[in-house]
Amino acid sequence: MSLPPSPSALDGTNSESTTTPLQPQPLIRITKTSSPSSPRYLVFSPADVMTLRRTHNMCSVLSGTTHLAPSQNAFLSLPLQLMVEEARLLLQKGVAYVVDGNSFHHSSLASMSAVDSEKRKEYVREMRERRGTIEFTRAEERRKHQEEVLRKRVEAGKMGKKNKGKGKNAAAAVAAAASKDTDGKGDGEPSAPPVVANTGLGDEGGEVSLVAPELEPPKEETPTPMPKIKLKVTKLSLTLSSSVPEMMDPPISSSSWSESKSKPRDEGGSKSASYTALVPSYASTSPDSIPEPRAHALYAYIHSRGYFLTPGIRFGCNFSVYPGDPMRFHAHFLATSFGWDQEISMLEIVGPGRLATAVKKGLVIGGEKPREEGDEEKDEEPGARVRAFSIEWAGF
Amino acid sequence: MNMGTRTDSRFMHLADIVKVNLELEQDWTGLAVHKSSPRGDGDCDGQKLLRPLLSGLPPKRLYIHPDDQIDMIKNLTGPGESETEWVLPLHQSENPTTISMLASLFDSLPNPPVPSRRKRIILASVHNDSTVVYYIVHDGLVKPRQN
Repeated sequence: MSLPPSPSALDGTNSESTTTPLQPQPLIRITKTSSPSSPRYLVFSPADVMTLRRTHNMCSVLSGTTHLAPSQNAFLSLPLQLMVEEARLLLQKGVAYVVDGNSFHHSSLASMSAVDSEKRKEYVREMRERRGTIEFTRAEERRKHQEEVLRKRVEAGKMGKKNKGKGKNAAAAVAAAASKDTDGKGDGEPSAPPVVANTGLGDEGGEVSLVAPELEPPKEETPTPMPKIKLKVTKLSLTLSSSVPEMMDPPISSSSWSESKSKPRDEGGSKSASYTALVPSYASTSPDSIPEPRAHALYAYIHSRGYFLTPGIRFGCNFSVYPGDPMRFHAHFLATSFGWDQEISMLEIVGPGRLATAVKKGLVIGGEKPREEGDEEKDEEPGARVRAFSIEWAGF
Repeated sequence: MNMGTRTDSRFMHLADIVKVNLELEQDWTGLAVHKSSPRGDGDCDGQKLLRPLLSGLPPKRLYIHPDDQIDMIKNLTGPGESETEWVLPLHQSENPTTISMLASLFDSLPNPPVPSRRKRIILASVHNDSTVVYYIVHDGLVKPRQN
């Protein structure tokens, strides 16, 4: 029997999304995190998420909270959680590799502490350097800010013509500013003079005394430890926004990268031959590292026809199937996988069929024909032996 | 053997219920019950079917693919003549349907008159109170009419 034409041939929707790029993409890094029940496959790099969506028709589910609003779940961010079917298919296509987060973490820690002491020292030195720069910048900023505040106070004092007391205060403030200019050289101790100025103003300039303590967090009056913590936080956020890959591949891993370059890897598949050199030695590119989920064949069958699939649990099925990017299209099908000889009761067709019709979709049931004994283990596309059927209410 | 004939007669009974329903309630014409593959070519020619199939002509065209519908509206043409449909009678409470059965059933059907059209059957689900509910089943992924 002839294979059904791809949806792009039928409705011309996703011709652009299925085109393969001219240049090969670097492999996508999938991080496997272990939980007692089932492992999760996560993608942390925004570039990888874009590649998945643009060239591999995979949207998956963003599963990270946003740190500004951690309790809502309508808008989620990185990491992207792949379905097991997706992770396995990516490995079968040879476009991704899996890193076991658990063992990677432990081995990284071990190499940090013992083996690579030279690299570790280098890393720590770099971090110290960065922190020094940031501390300096922060102190400079603080100094400028205080000068600004004082200048405004002086101006406010000049504007007030009514009482002479204000004029006196302004003079005091100018004096304070002058003294601060001389000693506040960004050495981390510029907080003392403004406090004096505040107490001088406190009794009449109510507005000013309200503003000033806010600008000067009370923590900073204690000498060293508290500001250090604050600065560390700032540094972390800087690192995150500037270089995410660096965070995930810390300097210590560079040795293992060069190591993997020298030794050939055979399980990568022919497509990725040029890029297997870039797979770190602690990663796995073998599809068998991910146990095959039940619905994998059906997933591969539908995906190979250019559709996007997302988890279908909200419709009580395995996948909801979109003819293009879910941002642009409604789903066409609700797909459920069955075994080749698994008995399907009519209610399993009538119930989901009614639901699918109610939400203007079709129901797809499908299953993979088991390999026959005569067949030798030939290399076939995943999902090649699948038969799928679309079911709609006839309407009469 | 005895068991086999009993199952056969049960299937035939189901087919009769659906046939009566199609003929008298849905105004279908030219209804026939098939026990062997109606396909005129290939390996399945004349092979015994797993279950009896019905064929018939609905009063008006039963199914229009969404793309054909768009063409119809563009060209201001009618839905065209009705096509012969294949009907598979099933009982609601039994669960004999498997993917393999559907696959072999579709393989035993003749190819559609228009090559671009996918094979389809009408699934007739018979309930105990003799209600019959019909579903359209396509071979492969065919986009739904409403979307």
